Amino acid sequence: MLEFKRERLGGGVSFSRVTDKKFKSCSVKVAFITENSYSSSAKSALLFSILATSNAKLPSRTALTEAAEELYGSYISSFSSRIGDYVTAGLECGFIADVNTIGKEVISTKAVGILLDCLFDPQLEDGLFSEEYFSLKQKELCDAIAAYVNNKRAYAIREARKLIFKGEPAMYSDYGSLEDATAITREDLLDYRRYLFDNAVIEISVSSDGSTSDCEELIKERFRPFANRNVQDITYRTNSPLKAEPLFSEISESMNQSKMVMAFKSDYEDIYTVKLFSTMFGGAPFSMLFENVREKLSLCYYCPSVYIDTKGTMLVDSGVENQNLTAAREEIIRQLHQAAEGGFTDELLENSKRFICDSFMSNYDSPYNMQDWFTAQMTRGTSFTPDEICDRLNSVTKEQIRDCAASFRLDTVFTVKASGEAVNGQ
Amino acid sequence: MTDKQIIRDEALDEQYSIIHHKSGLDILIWKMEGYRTTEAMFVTKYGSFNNIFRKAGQKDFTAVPEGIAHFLEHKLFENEDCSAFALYAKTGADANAYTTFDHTAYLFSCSQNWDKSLEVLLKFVQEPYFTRENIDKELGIIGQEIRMGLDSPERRCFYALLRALYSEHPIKIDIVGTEETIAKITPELLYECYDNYYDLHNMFLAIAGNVDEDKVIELADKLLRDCEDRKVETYIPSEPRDVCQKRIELTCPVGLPIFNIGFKAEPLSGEERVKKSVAASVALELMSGTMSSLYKRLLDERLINSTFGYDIMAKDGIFFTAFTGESEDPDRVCELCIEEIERVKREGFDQRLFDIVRKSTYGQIIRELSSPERVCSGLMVSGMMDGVDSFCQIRALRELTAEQCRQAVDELIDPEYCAVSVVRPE
Repeated sequence: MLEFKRERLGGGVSFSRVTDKKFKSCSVKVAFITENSYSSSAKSALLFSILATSNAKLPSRTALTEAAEELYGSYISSFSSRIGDYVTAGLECGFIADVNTIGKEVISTKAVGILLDCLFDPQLEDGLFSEEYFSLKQKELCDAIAAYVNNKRAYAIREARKLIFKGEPAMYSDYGSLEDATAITREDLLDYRRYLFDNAVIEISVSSDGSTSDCEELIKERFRPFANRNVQDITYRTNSPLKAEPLFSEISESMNQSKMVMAFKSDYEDIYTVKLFSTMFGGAPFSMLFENVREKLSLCYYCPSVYIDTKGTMLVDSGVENQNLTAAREEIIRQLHQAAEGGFTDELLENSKRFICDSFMSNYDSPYNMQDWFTAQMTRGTSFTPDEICDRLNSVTKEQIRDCAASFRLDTVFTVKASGEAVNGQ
Repeated sequence: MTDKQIIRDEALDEQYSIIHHKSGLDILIWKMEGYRTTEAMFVTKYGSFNNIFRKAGQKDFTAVPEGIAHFLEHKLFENEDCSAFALYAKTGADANAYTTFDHTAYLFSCSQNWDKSLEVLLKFVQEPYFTRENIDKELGIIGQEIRMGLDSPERRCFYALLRALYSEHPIKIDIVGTEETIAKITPELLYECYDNYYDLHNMFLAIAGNVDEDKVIELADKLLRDCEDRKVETYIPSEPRDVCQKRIELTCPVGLPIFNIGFKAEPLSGEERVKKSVAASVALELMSGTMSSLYKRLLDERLINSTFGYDIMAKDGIFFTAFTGESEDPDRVCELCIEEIERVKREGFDQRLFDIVRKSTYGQIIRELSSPERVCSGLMVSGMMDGVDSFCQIRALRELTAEQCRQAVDELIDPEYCAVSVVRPE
């Protein structure tokens, strides 16, 4: 049986605990959350990737990896991503529950100890991060940014966000730009760590079989001094303003299939009604876009919709042949108008409810998914379980969905057009 | 007559059942107490390899167009009245299908109504409906999928490696075929492939998570049709020991050059394949994993980034290992990998590191046992091999020695049979 508890430790630090006896593995995450800016995403990504390499007690990457691997393949890794206008970055640690080790060894406190040492006692040389790890991780970050172009679909979405959220912190990508990444110095990074420790909202979460109380005490003890900080709560939801006129933008790349990203914006209040609408519109294999744009009209290979609740924005990204770009765009808009006029069946709505609820309920089986679920709840200031959300979704009416659809307006259409210098299969 | 086998691992305290159903179908069921999710896969041992075949008693082999197994998978989702997605929409399950080199799988994941979803799965896979009209419609969709695949540099690099390693074996054929080959597909050819390979004796059903064995058998009794064991024989041309080409180089838009360095080995089968794959996997981790001296050297020389890794592919008639990643200098990476292989052949592995990697791999297996999706995938892998159960991997790991890993390098990772594929920026 799943239990969830969230407590405020003070000073902008919160501690969440998800437990379910059936979980065989455990996950601990420490997230530092600040407003995104042109340089913070690159700094966040670089800082935590360096912190994950070593600490004062395990001063080399090899020593740290060996120590973690010896704990039945435990791992310490960094993460950095966006929540709307904010960047959330930090360290996480995963390990199997003590009861599942051979001989019931206690590995949980050791694994968490390594994580905490990486955060609080980093390996420094002359008061700075090691030149070796700094240059290594900076190169990896630059390589990852250069590799954006490898995945054409993700590349199109990343470029589109710059236009969709122009002038808002959400426009900056997960890793920042190549210029941002190369401009960072070791001094900058140490300053940034200090800045985060002083100013960031800190979200700690533990997801386990319930046997990690010693780990939880260790973590709370290390964060006790943070209770005196003066850190304001974050309001994560800042709907992106609708442009006066839809923006149409196109670039060209040497590739075989064009990518089109369309953004629709709305101030509709209840995000769960919107999520249900987005599922019915383009988020399921029986949705309006899948059935009509792909299956009936063969206008694109894929065209799902996804709702970014923190920005009040729904994206439809598609893989389209050049000759179908206009027809696909018009049909997607036509489908939205049809939904806004109530042109969908009760059956489609009921199927969408079943689909989204089934998906939400399956989170219960994974410690990692439940951790992410309650992180999303935290950004909404709630702590609903999947069951509670499904109860709400099941009471949404056709009229509410119609009104929700009618509230969306086209904001941006961004196309990466296949240049025609297509590569062949060999 | 339906009979049942229990497969158990005492040390893990885990077990699953194999039901040999009277229809000829084997049903693998792993009930996971306390889980809400059900994962199911209906699998035929039919993939892109099976391009030339004959029925028992037939003299001549029939050759069918490349990509037909994948095409058939797409078309099977559509019966006479509606698509399978429309049927699943009534149950809430998330359904999908995929085709690989040696099998095609139809799957669903759900957290409610698993029995209704299983009914849908068992029914639609047994009800083919192919017409000229619905084939023509699918040509457009699959054509788009083919062109989208050409935009993936990682995919192109992988297929280039296959073409470099294998001169005769059909693994070098793209699973989706080409626009030219799929244009030759007819309803008659689809029915011929279906009749030969979608014979329940050539198929199995794997289910893990929240499931009731008696209910599965009841549904199988009701829905599975008795069918003749066609004993279809696939023609696989004999493959020379040598690689086909030492190197293939391509260009396309990528951030950094992408490389695959492959080592062709003699194919293996049954339990020996599992044992040697485990040995090769641990050997590759010891040689090139994050704790290895090779990994450190490649990082120190700034030759690799976080994308560096290794792969093993072991199928009927196929066994190769590969190092993969991005580098400014793939040739230098290859040189250092081969140097390390030669060193290991002479000196063997460090016992302490071997113990760590073995323990870490054990932890990884425990983690997988808490995911219905991973457990179901494990059942699928064992279902593909006669006489191999799902615990074979962990048994092999328990018995593995450092010396066996060295022998695996000797036998399976031989620089004499090395080929390289590189995708460079345009």
